[in-house]
Amino acid sequence: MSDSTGARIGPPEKIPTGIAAFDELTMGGLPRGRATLVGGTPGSGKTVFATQFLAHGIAARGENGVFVTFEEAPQDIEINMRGFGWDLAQWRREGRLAFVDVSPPEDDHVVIGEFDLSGLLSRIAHAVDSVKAKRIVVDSITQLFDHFIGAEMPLRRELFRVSAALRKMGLAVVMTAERSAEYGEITRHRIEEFVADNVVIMRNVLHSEKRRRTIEVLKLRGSSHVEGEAPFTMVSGQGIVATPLSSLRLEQQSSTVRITSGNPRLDEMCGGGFFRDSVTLVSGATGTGKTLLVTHFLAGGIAAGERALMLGYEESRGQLFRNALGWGIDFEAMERDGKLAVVCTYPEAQGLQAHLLTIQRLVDEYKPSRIAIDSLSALERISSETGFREFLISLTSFIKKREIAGLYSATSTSLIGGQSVSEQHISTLTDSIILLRYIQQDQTMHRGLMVLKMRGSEHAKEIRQFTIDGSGMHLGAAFDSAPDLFAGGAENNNP
Amino acid sequence: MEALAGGVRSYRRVGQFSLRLYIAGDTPASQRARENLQRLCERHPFPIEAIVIDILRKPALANKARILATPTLICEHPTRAKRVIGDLGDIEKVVEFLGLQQRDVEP
Repeated sequence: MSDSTGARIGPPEKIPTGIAAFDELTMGGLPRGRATLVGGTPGSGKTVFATQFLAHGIAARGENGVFVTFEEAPQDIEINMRGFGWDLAQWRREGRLAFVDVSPPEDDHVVIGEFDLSGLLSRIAHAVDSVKAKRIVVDSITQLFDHFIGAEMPLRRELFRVSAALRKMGLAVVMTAERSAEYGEITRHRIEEFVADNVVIMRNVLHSEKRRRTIEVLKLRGSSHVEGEAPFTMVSGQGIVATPLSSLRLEQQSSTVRITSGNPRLDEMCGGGFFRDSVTLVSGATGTGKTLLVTHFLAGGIAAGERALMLGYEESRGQLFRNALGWGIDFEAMERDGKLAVVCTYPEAQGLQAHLLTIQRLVDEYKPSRIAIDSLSALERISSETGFREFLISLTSFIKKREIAGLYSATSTSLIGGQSVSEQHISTLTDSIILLRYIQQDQTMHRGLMVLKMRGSEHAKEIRQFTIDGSGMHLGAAFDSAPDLFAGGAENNNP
Repeated sequence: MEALAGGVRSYRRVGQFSLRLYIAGDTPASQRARENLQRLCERHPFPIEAIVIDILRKPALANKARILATPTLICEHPTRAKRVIGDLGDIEKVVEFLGLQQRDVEP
């Protein structure tokens, strides 16, 4: 039964968990014939992870599974997991899944004399045999220690024996264990030391009022893995969806094809337009014309025969359509022709990871060749700094992989100049940066535009004045003398 | 399933006890648990129904009783079942926990 693992030399075969990003972190999934401990605080998603591992085996790989539960009754697990799209009850009836119910009986119990866990082991062996299981989940080991208070030493010895027996059966084993804090000792009772080859940590951290869920591979015996915490989200109908940052390598090809920004004068300033697969940031204070630039960008693409997608997080569709019409651009007609899709969402409607998934889904469904996001600042509001940075990396990488032209807008915190957090975060990630600023000259406030950065291309260095009217943005001549755009002018000192 | 050594002594009185000892094969712990159970029954003033179940031969019964550790002694009771995990090494404690009566043992 176990000869496929026992006799082999070299690392064991890895089997996919069904969480694509996790399989990238572990470079293939979890090893067969090995035990993986998944540690986490209550509510960190351990049971979901474990169930997904089984569900993927059953539904996608033809590998049956056994679920050993120390905590919840099987009926409760079946009900709780239905929302993720896993019909455990059905699989149980079809003989593809077996439960071993070791949830605590209501009887009074006491330990008198010596014992072993042969009872558990023989029931597991029976279940594994009855469905010819390849994967097994034990949820959660920590619960056992509460069964056997005062008998920790024999319990450790017995758990070691059980874990060894499961591995010997050639099963891929996932065991969950409780942690008492997000950072600190790996698990209560230091279970990882005696039952597991591999250790995975799931976290659910509250940071400045925002929840951030991550998964991290701490140890993968005899095999390499990607280090660091990968953020994830739990999606109904899908389970855990994670994004590995380190796999987002900068391997996208750089296109030399130029596309229009939607404004011929701006194209000139950029040395002939944006690049096909580039991401551009337009940053400016409120009212400087960011949404206008976004509108031109979309309309320009559509006029050139492209499809465009806009994601709005600040204004409603009604407002956006009215604004566009005010600049002579008819979004409604474009949508009717199937050239444009405008999707507006409240930033607070979901977490940042969920927003990312929504964007990815929309892009894959609608297949646009350019995408605009208005604005990043609205999204920044709902996340921690680390979470936001991860979001940006994932999003930018995704857009470039799809070879789409992207335009992000971001609001500067000060009216005249200064660098906002978004700018700092994103300046290294985007290919181009366009600044929009108010510029005071002789008692008059003007609007100015500057191409700050244009990766792989020459671009105009001066600040151009521009005006806005019923047909949109009009770039004019350069300012003769403009104040420092970053620090704010001497006459406009910002605190 | 087998009756405890000593033949049929399973005359359970109303409101009295029924004992099930779950063991996993013929291990030293199983043997000790059997012997301790035998002694416990002998010291009881009335016959007790006591049955030994080897879960390796009857895995379905182990599932039904949700056996985790072995040996496990389950004391069925009309109001509240009790279970003792281990080889019953300390009979006094078992008797006390299960609330059994005890016949005076002659020295």
